[in-house]
Amino acid sequence: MSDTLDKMLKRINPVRTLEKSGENKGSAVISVKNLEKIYSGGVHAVKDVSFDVFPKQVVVIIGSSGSGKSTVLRCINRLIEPTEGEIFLEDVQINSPSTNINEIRSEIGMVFQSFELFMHLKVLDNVTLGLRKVRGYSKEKADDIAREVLAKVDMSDKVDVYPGQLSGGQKQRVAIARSLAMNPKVMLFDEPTSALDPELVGSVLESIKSLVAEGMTMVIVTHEIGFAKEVGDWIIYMDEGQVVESGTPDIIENPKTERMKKFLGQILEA
Amino acid sequence: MLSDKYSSGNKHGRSFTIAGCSLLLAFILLLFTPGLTSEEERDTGWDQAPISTDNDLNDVLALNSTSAFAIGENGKIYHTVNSGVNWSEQDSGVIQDLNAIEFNGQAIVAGDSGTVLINDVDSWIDNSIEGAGNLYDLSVPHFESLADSVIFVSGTGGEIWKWSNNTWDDLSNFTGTTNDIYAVDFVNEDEGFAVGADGLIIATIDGGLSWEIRDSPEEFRDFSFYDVIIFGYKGPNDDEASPVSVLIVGENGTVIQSSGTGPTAIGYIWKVPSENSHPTNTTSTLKSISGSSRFKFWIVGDDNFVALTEDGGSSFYNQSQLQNAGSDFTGVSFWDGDSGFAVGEEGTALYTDREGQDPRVLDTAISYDTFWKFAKYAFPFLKEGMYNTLKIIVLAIFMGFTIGVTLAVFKTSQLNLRIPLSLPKDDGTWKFVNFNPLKFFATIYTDIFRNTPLLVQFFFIYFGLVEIGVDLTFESILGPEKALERAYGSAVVALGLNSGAYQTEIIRSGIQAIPTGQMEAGRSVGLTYIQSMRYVVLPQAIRIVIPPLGNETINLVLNSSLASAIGFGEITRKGRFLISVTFETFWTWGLVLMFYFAITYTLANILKYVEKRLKIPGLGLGGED
Repeated sequence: MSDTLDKMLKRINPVRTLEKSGENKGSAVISVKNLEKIYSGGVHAVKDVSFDVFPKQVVVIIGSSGSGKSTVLRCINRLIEPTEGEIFLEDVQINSPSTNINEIRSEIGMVFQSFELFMHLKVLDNVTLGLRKVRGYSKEKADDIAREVLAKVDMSDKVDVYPGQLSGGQKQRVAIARSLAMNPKVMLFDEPTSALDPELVGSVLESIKSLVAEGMTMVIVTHEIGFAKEVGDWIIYMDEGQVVESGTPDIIENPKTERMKKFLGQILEA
Repeated sequence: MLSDKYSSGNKHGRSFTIAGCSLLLAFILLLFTPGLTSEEERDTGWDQAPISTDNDLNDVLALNSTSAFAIGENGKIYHTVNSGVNWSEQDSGVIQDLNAIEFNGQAIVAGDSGTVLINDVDSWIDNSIEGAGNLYDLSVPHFESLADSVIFVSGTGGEIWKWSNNTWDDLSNFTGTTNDIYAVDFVNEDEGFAVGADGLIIATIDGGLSWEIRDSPEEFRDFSFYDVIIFGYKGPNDDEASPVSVLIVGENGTVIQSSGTGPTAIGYIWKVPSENSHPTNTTSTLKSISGSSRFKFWIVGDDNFVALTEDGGSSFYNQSQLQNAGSDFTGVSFWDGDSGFAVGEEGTALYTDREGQDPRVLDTAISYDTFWKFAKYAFPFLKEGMYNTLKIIVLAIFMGFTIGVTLAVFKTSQLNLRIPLSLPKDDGTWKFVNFNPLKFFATIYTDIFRNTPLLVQFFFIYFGLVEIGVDLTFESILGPEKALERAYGSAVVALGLNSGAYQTEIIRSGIQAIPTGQMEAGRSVGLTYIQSMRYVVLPQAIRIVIPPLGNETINLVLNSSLASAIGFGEITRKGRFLISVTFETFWTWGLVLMFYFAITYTLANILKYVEKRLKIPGLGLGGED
């Protein structure tokens, strides 16, 4: 375990250095600029949030409930419509009326807190649905890809069961495989382990880590501070809809602001 | 145990299943009780009067209301004096096939190879024609004795012979045709018609010395004509100008008529005696006509065809399905408007003394003193009603489900048009109201249909829509041949629209029961809204709402009884008819209830089975899987 971790850190380090140095700005995979979200009820959930996600970088957003971190994530693939600001996938503006959002979404993987597997489809069909209906692949080709990604998340033996027969951890791994099958440019994780029993969290985190090791670009919203520190290249702490603090994982050890100190204190107590 | 497969699994449910299945079984047994429904037991309007022979019969002649001659292949002549109960074979003295029989004081028969036989009590006098071919028909305008008589016969290759002055004259050269002449009919010694192959119609007014070709309508020129009959014409000296009607039948269900008044020239203009191009509703070959007036006559033909008209051929009561002879008919002969005989292949013979009509269509009250007697009478009606009920509900369920799915998707749709409420305010901001036209339409639809009585909807659709020209027979789509009965079309539409409104609400609730995350997950994979609906949300939603949809389907079956109010002959309507004939209210409504029970109970079990089959672990309510 620690061996792989070392290897991973070695792989990740160069990127981290790159980011620190502020180079390579032009090639951000995801670029969020001055994002604002006001819900129709008047709640100002996100206030002027900007950040970039570079290739093979893992950005972790942390923050207490209601801090707007999930809203930011959902704005990225427009499950929530941003009120103001611009979001880019590479050089395509996501929140522009002329963009084919379905095409964009198929390039962005999303993993939900509550898994959201298609309950009426078997595991294999969950993974192949997007390949067949969005990509238009044949059943054989889609099945091959699905088996490959299911093997990656160690779910090869469950291809023929319904999601209802899986444990929470297994469901989340299938959900990861479902996103992965589309070969996305970036993957978004919305609190992927929050709904899991503690003993099941490990297997899901392992799967995510193996993706990190492969160099997948990711944005992760999580409560798992330890995990954030371990895999994150860039940490964003949000509170009340604003980015309070962001930086390398070091900021978790040495928070600069009172708010983040307080938040980390609460987490550690719990 | 079979019922275990789809019972709900608990003991209570199982005992209900067993009780229901036993009831259903009892009903099915009753339905197939031979005494109740077998064809032999039903009065078909015609009595079987078969002749024990393998020879095909070619013609029949009714001598009075109970006696007749029947003739056929190989020189066979049979005679009955007791309505066809017994037939005795007579010695014809020939072995040629006999083709036609006529009567004018004496019965006279024509057959193959020039055979002509004259009846003399129990024997037949041979008066055959030397050198003639096969003779297909004959007409006897005058007969005192063989020496003082006029007989016309027609046959192969345009042959016509005339017997007069005690000798046969060959008139074949005057006919101007070499087509086979299948039928000939003379009203007097001078005037007559002959018809035959390829639409041939010829007429003479000088005893056959000259013949004139009469054009049959163009569309009939490819068909052969097999019989011709002249009603109402007495001859040139007829004082009264009586209406005349000449009828011809032939291939492809052809019936054509030429009419006129009194001794004027007729037979120049032929037309179908109906607005319908096929008043007989058949394309079978028609072979023979016989009747009591120019209005009331019977036609028989191939494929078990027997039909009666009482309006000169404008419409026919098809009596084919009433008798079960399963034969090609070749000849028919009626003594009067009630009694007659029909004959066909392999000794088939039928007799009727009641117009060939099933007495159940007559308005007679019959006393039914036992349940079985009543049930025998009632079952054919109720079975027909059940068939009609099934016909409505199958289409209505399909229509309702289609409407339900579509409008449920409309109702849950996210399409929002922003409509400005007024001009911009001072600060330049607009005030908008969101408007979803799909949801608006679906809501109006469901509100209307769920808040008005179904019976009134039936009335509105059946009586109201026709007024503004809505065609519920679907004639413009299905064509005039397949157009639906208007009451049937109206019943399907009314039930389908009404059930659609309820199914919309049921399916909408199913869609809303699926977590929004499912739609989001579908969208995040890249599926469009419609695709996510189609492949992710609806399959789950429908599974959840199968039980309430099943209830709605059963409601639809029960509601179909309201179609009786617009005159569609489903089970309830048949029940009301039965009561009007039998006055047996208890038995009738009891049986009607059983018929409905049989349909809905079967349906409920099918739905239970479907629900079980579609069940997916972890989806929907209940289930321990």
